[in-house]
This record gives sequence, structure tokens and C-alpha cells, in this order.
Amino acid sequence: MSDDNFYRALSQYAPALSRVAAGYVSDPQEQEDLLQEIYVALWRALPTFRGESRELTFVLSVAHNRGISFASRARRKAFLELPYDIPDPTANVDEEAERRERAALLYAGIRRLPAAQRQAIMLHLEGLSGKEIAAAQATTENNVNVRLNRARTALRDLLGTLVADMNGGHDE
Amino acid sequence: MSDFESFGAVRQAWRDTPRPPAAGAVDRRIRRAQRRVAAERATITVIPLASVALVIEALRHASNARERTLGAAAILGTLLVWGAFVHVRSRERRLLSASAPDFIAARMRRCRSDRRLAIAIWMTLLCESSFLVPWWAGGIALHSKTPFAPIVAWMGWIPAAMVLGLFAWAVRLWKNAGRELRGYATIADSFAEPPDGGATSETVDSSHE
Repeated sequence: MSDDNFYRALSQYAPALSRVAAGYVSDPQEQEDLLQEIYVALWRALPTFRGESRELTFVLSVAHNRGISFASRARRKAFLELPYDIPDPTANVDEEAERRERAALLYAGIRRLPAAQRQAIMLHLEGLSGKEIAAAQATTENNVNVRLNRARTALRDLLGTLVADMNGGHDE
Repeated sequence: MSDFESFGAVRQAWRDTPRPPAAGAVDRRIRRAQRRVAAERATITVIPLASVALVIEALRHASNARERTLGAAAILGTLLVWGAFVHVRSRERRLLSASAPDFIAARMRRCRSDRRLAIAIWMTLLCESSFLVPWWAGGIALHSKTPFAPIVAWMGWIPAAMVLGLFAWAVRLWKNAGRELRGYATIADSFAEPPDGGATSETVDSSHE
């Protein structure tokens, strides 16, 4: 097993892996625990990577599976039983705090989605194509689109108008 | 927050936090996790081997065919349980990067197999105890007059503690697997195909292409 390859992947994907952890659990300590599980899973899984998909897709699949596993074991704060911790979007805050609050708002909304919709929207936000998301969810691209639309609708309901434009195209 | 009302801003918010841990902290965490995995592997190897060695040692003192049969059954049961445990966990490595539904299905199978494993452990312990308890009682009475002599500790208390420890571990395995199974069942529901069976022209998002 190549530790060099593992550390290279880790430095490349660490931010994405942290986002996955935050998408499954809200508590910082639990995020760290999940992140550690993700790292170990990646360390074990990377030698089996044969280049059949993009490395990012492979890494995110491992991370999401670990997130699902972690959530299924959680006694408290399971993602389906999250407390209502969405911050007040109308609060007056400076730019940096506002930026953080927007992110917290988005993550809190995402954590409340059903597992399949949440995974679809998180993979979408990481830039995976419909085909790649469909492979990660063992379903069709049409079903992925249904899940993404439902996720957006649910997020819009949860977060008010803040993500209203998620229904529109992205700006890349 | 008007700029948040665009997909670009949402994507930016997604990427804003959280910050990944510092490289040094990651390295320490990885090393710690690797040590934990190594310790788990060692434990998984040492406990069954110690259990088999204990029964083999006891078999040397078996006085009749019934005791020898019970001892052989205990050894066979321990090895089978150990083999099943190692096999189930080694299969997991291949599933780490599977699609979510495949991964969930595999984990649910593992939870069910963990519950069967717990039952197998209890049965093996029952078999082992029915063999070891008479051995302890007879052997201790024969070799020592006091229950606190070193030979009694090695022959009786330590193995008894191991049996109790394994029993408690199997109870924990049973309970955790049950809880995990319920969690996976809920998650699996969400990965069932959408009820309408697919997207309509209204629900397909062209931006995703």
C-alpha cells in the first residue's frame, strides 16, 4: 500500500472531505471523528482504485459511504433527527460572519435532507456530473435530476428565499 | 444577502467552510487511526487463538470421551466463528467505494451476520463453559486448596474473565448491529427509486448536464 499516494490524495481532497463530514454531522467533535473514519477508509480503499472513474468520484464515494455508516450508528444528532439549528438569516452581521453564516445555513439545510437527496446535492456541489452521481447512487441520470430538484425544493422551503435561485442554472 | 440568491453564491458558501484540519493534525490522526486498526487486528487474532489454546490445554486433562467431544466442539466453534468474522470484514474493504445502495445493502448484510455471529458466540461459550466449568471445579480442587493461588488464577479466574468478556462483547455486538440495522433501513428507503419512476421535462434540470 502506497502511503505516498494516500497522502497525496489527502492533501488534494482534504477540503472536499471536510465538507462531506460537515454535510453529515453538525457537532465539530463528531465531524472530526467522522473525518478520521473517512481518512482510514480512504487509506484502505485507495489501493483498490483502478481508474474506472475519476479519482474525485472514487474518493467522494468512499467518504459518503463512511458518512452514511456514521449517521446510521449515531445515537444522538442522527441526520434524520437533527435539532433545528438553522441560524437566523435576517441577523445583522459583518461580512466574514455573514459568509460563515451563509455556509452554516446551507450545511444545516443539507443535513436535514433525506440521505439520497443530500448525497446528490453534495456531489453536485462538488462538481460531479449527472452521470457520475448516477453511478455513485446506482441509479439513472433522470432519477438523479429528480432528487436534485426535490433537494432544491426542500432547501428552498427550509432556507426561505436564500437559495431560490438554485432552481436556475449554475454560473460556471 | 442578495448575492446568496444565485447558484454561484450557494456553491461558494458550500466551499467556504469548514476548513480542513492542519497537515500535522491530520498526520497525527492518521497514525492514531492506523494504530487502532492494527490493535483491532491483533485483538481479533489473539482472543480466538488464546481461547483455542485454553481448550487444548484443558483437553489434555480430559478424562472421558464426552469431555473430549465437548472440547473439540468448542475448538471447532471458535475457529468457525473466527473465520466468519474475518471473512465478513475482509469483504468490506472491496465495498468501501461501492455505490451507496450497494454499500447500504452490504452493511445491512453485515449487521445481520454480526447478529448471527453474536448468537454463535453465545452458543460456543455455552459449549465451552459446559466443558470448562467441570474442569475448573475438578482441577482447582485437585491442584490447590485456596481460590487465590496463582494456578487457580491461570486455570480459573483469567479464563472465566475472558469468557465473560467475550459474552459481554457479543451482547454489545448484537445491540450495536440492531441499532445500525434500523439506521440503514431508514437510509435505504431514501435511496429507493423516486415514486414517479423518473424525471419529466419539468423536473429535469438542464444546468446539471
